[in-house]
Amino acid sequence: MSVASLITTDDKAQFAASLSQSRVDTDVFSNGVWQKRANGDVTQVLKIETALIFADRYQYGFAVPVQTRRREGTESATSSGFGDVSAQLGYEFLPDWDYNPWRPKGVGFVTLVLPTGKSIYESDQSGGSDTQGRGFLALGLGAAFSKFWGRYDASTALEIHKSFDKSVNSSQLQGVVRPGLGESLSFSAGVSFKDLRMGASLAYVNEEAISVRGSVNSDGSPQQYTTASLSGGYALSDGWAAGLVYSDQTLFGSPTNATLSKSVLASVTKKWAR
Amino acid sequence: MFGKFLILALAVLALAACAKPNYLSPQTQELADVAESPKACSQQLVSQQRCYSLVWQNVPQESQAASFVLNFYSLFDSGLPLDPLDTLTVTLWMPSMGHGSSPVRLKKISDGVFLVDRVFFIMPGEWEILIRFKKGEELIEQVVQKITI
Repeated sequence: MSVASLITTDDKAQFAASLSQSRVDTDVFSNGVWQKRANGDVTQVLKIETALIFADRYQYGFAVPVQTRRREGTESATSSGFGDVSAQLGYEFLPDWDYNPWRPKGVGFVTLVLPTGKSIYESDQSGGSDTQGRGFLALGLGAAFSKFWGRYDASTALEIHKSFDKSVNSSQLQGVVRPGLGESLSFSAGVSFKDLRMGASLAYVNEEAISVRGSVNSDGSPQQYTTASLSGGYALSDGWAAGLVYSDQTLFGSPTNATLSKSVLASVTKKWAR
Repeated sequence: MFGKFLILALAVLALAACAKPNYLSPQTQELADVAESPKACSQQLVSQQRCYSLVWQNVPQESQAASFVLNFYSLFDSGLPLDPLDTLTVTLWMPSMGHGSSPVRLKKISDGVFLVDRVFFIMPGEWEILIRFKKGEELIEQVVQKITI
């Protein structure tokens, strides 16, 4: 669950447009065995994210992804569509008005994810390459903390979400899919040299097993993976900035029951100061 | 400033260990594929009064449709091919992820012989082929063939 459209700085509004391309590198089975992907499964995502402060310490934001997925091989296919749209409501519960040397700024948030993207449960294309979303309505609760020390900065965010049951009536299943709880924890740190910022982050995600009851019954397996990222950003004039991020899910942690990707993301961001 | 930053960075790295990949070897995959094809009529279907075999026509691979033949024989008259008593369906299912795949195509070739094609596993992993026998909507019997793609 993304918390990217959250203001953790002293700005009053921010807008970001990003374009990413990710390629599935490895599948990790539920028993922890890894298998390299032989054929390409490439996803490009254009995402618009925005957030706005209102009533002093409150903020809201949303993220709208549009994605194109291309599957290679003998059953190759390409499809495009909306991904899962998310909206966020945040409150700065821990302000940093006196610039304490250790105490961070803290923003709590509630996130709602709408299953606007076609999921594997509604897929009608051979190979499921027309899937753009996870398919579940989800509600999340979390907090993000950030701190600046001169040219250095660090932040962390932790979040827990509940994905709700989904009724499915398709050729593959007539029944109910029960996804359960999920958690994410991320750390990031960066250093700035004038207008250039270099950063790194780690984001750990855990999803409870997806159980299915109906024409097919299965208990599922939990899913875990860690995304490592290196980023570079350059501040342009009038609050504009450009950024580049490389992410790799094969480097850290003990992934299980997961599809691991490597991706590159380019973004432009506009911030309005308070 | 740098000291505080360094303490935090080291704490994060200490929590996140490097991944230790345990790759499935190609040889293991080939052996597993062969092992999943049962010997002729090794599986009994009590409700159907049949035994059956599953024979791959082309071995399933990532991003490539496969096909197999289901042969049904009488339990009482060895070697006599007979249709199952109830309606046969085949579903591909990935239990760890909790989803299936696109529908297969089922075609009767002759008495007791059914071709199942468009068998496409949408991602590598541990899959189940659910071979089911239904009377209307009622599930009479189900057998599960496990396969690793």
